Amino acid sequence: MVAISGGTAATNARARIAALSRSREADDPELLDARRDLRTAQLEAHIRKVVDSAPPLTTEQRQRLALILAGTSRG
Amino acid sequence: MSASSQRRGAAIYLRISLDQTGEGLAIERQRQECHRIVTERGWRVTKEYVDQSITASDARKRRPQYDALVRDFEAGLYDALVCYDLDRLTRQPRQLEDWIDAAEGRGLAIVTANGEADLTTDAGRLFARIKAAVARAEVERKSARQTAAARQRAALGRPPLGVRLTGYLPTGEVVKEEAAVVRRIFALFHGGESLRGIVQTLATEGISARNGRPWNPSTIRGILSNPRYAGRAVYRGAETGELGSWEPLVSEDVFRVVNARLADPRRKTVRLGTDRKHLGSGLYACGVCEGPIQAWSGERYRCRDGCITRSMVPIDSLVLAVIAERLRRPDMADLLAAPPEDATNAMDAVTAAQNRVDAIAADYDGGLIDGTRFAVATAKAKAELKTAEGRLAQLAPNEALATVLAAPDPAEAFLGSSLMAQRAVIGTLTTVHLDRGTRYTRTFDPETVRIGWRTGASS
Ligand SMILES: [Zn+2]
Repeated sequence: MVAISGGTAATNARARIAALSRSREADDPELLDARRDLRTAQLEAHIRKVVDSAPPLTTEQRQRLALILAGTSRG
Repeated sequence: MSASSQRRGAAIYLRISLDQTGEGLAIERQRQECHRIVTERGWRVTKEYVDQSITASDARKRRPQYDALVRDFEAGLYDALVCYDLDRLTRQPRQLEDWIDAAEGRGLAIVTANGEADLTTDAGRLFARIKAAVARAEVERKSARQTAAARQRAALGRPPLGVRLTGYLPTGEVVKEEAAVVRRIFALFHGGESLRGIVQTLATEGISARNGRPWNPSTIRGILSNPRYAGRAVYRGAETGELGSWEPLVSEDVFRVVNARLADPRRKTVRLGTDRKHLGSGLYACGVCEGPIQAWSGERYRCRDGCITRSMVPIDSLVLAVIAERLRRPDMADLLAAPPEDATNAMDAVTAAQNRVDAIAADYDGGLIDGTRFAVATAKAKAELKTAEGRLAQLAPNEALATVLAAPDPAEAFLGSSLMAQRAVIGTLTTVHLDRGTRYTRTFDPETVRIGWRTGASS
């Protein structure tokens, strides 16, 4: 299982799952939907967390990125 | 009518958009300014045309009063047009150019109340033309942004939206007739037909593309290289186990053969090295032995020693999404600075040379030139490309950086760029280690993809 807390979206999805799972079957489409939303929210939170740890770019990195991206976006 | 009367008859066009709020007052100001101009110039008002709450950037949304304005102009009911600014008149580059033509060719006097454009003068018409060009560039950028957004949706494992793929409804169901054409295109190419040969075959059979136009080599190539036709490029359950996938139109085998041929060795040399067909092969490292990761059968990654075997799609999607998010951070905002002229010229030269290289490859593909001429022409074009790239590389870092203007948003440029460019960006920013996945579960754990940030020069 993904061991991250997630943000508001994840919290909302969890609440929805909790509410739905009281009344619905395990394979209920809405419940499956909610579970998928939760995983997406967790994934997005994970991505934010990883990027939050990124250091500033060096000048060389920035220049390299600019050249790569400029070259391909026009080519 | 201007011949019979020295006083020009002026139409006033006003538009308020509900895109912005609080525009109720604005229209009154627009109206006053426009009337002031008519009075100052000694014209007379023929009619006021007012459209409300409709955006000018969408040609499909009806603007009844705008339509009336056009009709009345055709009918010769006025010979001057006053609007608040050109954006109020239209944001459609095509329409804007029609108005400029009318100003130039038929002597329509167009004046904007905000003072930016007076199309009764040369300078004013020049300004309007620049504005039309900018508007067109904006429309093109917008469509590029939509492409990138679609890729991002795929990267996050969501079903595609918007413009549907030939052969499928937006909801994913197969459109039989179109699917038959797609399968036929694959079959023809698989059977050894060239891109141009397929175009001819389809034309002979009276089969046009979905937009009603004839097929051309690049649209055929677009079909052949779209992995969705092989049912790929979705999570296919690897991430969540629940996302539905569409019915493939061609087998994985046919798709692989076709795309291997599209990436024929003679073409490889002119591309940025399309030998890598997977985002991570040779780029990611094994989290156990540090060895390089290779593509393995069945859309999986594996290290040489086989310490790990992982599904490709969720890993690649995560890496793409992380890089895109990094490129979206505020410290990248200054990548959008306007490029100095030197950089623009250098960039244009690179683009032109790259286009020549591509065109030669397309000619070779289409059977228009033989291998010898291909080699000679390619060598020449590549030499030009190298020279142009050299000039670009010599620019000061800031100037080179600024050329990213061509791609307003670095994240979108990244998601919309080629596999090789994406690999280069990933390698510049990060190291990626793949750890063992959790066995016996279909749930993808992103923690098993260790993404480290590089702090210096890279690979
Ligand atoms: Zn290993």
